Amino acid sequence: MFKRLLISLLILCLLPTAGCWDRKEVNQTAVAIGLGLDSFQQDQILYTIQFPQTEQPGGEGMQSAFVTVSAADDTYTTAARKISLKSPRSILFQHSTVLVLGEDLGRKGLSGLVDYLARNRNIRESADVFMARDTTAADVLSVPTQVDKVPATALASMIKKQDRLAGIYTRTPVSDLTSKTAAPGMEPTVPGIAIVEREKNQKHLELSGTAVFKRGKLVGWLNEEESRGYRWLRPKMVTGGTITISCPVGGEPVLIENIRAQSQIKPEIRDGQIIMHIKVREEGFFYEQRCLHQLVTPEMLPVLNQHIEQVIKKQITLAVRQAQTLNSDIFGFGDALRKKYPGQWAELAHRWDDIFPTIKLEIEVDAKIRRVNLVSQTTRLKY
Amino acid sequence: MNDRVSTRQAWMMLSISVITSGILYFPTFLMQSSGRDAWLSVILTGLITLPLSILVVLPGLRFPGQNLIQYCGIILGDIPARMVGLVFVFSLLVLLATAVREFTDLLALDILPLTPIVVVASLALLVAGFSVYQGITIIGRAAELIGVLMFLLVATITVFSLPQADFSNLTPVLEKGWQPLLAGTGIQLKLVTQVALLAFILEKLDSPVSAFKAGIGYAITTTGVIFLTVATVQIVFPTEYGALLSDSVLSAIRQVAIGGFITRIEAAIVAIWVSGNFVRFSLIYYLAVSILAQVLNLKDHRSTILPTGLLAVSLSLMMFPNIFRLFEFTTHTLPVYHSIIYVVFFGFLLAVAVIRKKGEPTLPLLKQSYKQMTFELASFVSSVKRVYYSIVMPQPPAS
Repeated sequence: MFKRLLISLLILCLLPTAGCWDRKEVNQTAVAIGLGLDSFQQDQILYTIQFPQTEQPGGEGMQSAFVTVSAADDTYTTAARKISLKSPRSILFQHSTVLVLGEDLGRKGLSGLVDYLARNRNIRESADVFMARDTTAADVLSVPTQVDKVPATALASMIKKQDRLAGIYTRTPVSDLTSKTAAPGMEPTVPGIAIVEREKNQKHLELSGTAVFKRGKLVGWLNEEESRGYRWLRPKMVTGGTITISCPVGGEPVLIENIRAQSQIKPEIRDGQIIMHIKVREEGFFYEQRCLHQLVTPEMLPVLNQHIEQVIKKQITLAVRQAQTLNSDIFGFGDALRKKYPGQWAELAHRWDDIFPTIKLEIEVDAKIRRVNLVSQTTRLKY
Repeated sequence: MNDRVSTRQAWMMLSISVITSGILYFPTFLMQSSGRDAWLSVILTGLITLPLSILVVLPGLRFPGQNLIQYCGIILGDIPARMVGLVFVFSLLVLLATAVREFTDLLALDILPLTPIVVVASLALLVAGFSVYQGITIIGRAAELIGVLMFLLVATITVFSLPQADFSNLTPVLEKGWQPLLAGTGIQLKLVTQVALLAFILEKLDSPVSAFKAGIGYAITTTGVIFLTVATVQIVFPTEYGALLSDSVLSAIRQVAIGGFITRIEAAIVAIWVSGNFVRFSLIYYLAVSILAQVLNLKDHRSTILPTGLLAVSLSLMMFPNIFRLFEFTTHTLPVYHSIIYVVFFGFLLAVAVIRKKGEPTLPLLKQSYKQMTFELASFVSSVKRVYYSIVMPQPPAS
């Protein structure tokens, strides 16, 4: 008797496991792959969501691989939810890998946005953040790139691929933006994305510059060279990327591929003056030369190494100088100082805006060319 | 009757019940109170847990084979012992209600925002109540199974977070002196004092040595696991940001992206956490029910399961109007309350037993257990050595 009761109880238990209040049917949802945020009119928010368009079997060609839908309202959430006035399906935010911020919104300040990003459980911390440069996020999300038709997926892979190949910009996940805004002695940066118009109606997207924030507001941009300097100084290992030096003999460009680089920032307070000792260890491969000089010899390698060191030093100096001009501690100098001198940091923190531009640098770069790829001597044409 | 537990089962049950309560919300509280020294505070607390785990079992070991109410009765007299027993039942009921509320609120926060929490709470306690009905051996066996998953879970979180790690986040050490460190230890008292649950299942263990072993094993595992989770959150997020998050561990897990295909593993983590909670509910539920049966002189604890469960569900719904009161209760009220009724009480019990010369002296027992444990440790080390030598050398060394 008891057994039968038990079995019927267990079967009853199965009923609630089949579904619950918070279920979402797949065919009732639309997957958001990219989000865009702009400021709209006075102080409203324009929320743009990009959805992929699936190809209809048997249909005659696709119009576009994606659609973007925008809505404006007073808060981020109501703006996002107003999109349900224009779209019949419930929106799955969890799969959006890209978050584009409009330049206007950045200039006005991210104060409310950071809390929204941290609090909202539908926004993934690993999504990449971009800053629309001289344009709006809604526009960025409506332009396909040259190769990939869907901008959101293209942006997400572009920022990762260029780090290995070109080595210019540093990706910023949502969590970096939020945590660097919250932690003292650190300011976030966000890679920029611009719309380039080559011919009439031939627009495409291109990564361009690094947006620098100060107290949650966009204050300026790092250019390409400065972005490279910023990249060398990031705390994690830098892999991939290129270094262009000039040939010690003729001055033509010579390319070194960076394999791995690691930087260290050590602060020092000497007679009231704050000095940052920056140490970069870099290893690279010799990759390309435009001249025909015999560069890959045991005698020439130390000379090339010195050239690399100089280039990296220059890039870092440029980046720090630009950050000091904008007065934004994007390298976490304040944080490094706090870890080494917790006592002094308590007083320095109040005057950090006055102190940061006066910080001096002592940069030491240790660059080594390890290998020369497939040829050991420069190949020349015989005739 | 399923009422015996082995050393490993006792160790696993206690560890799981403390780890599940300490693993998701806890690092946030710790970072709020001790800042960047949170990881250090865990180690300090571990040093306190170790002697406590021995202290709480000492009174019980003076009366082998007797349960809590029986030996309290010999030490304090019959009526006071029963009143003490009722206090324990009440405290376990409150602990169970808090545990259920922590569980349901986290689920409501992250996974089931629209589901009424009474449904989640009743379903959780229904399953736990069924295992309580079966007896503590069943809970112990489930704990052995889930314990392995639990340790895997923590190891996974830590290993997968290493690509995001910035170890300099752990410094500066003692930035604001000793005070934050001690504040963190104060909060952890809620977890530490749950070692007293070991005293409640003492008569179900095989031997006094196994009580010591379970206690010491408990102290080491929980300290290690909580240290790993707190340190993981701290190396992934700057502490100032981690202290803002509601459940910083889940947020840290969301960061995990290994090779583009191991991502969004938080579903698996929550699944294991839910099964850990099953053990935790079952253990506390069982103890509340069985002590109630001891107080009321019942032959069987089963008749009290349903009323206790109903009380626990309604308490969990009524005690806390919002999540802040729940957090305040677990971080400020429970540590003091549990320190008094679990730690101070057992110290008092031991003192009275020694002064009134009740029961057998425990000093020879301690010495014997120490000898046995060092012997077992030595034989374990030598067996490890033997395996090692058998790998690196063809013949074992002549000893």
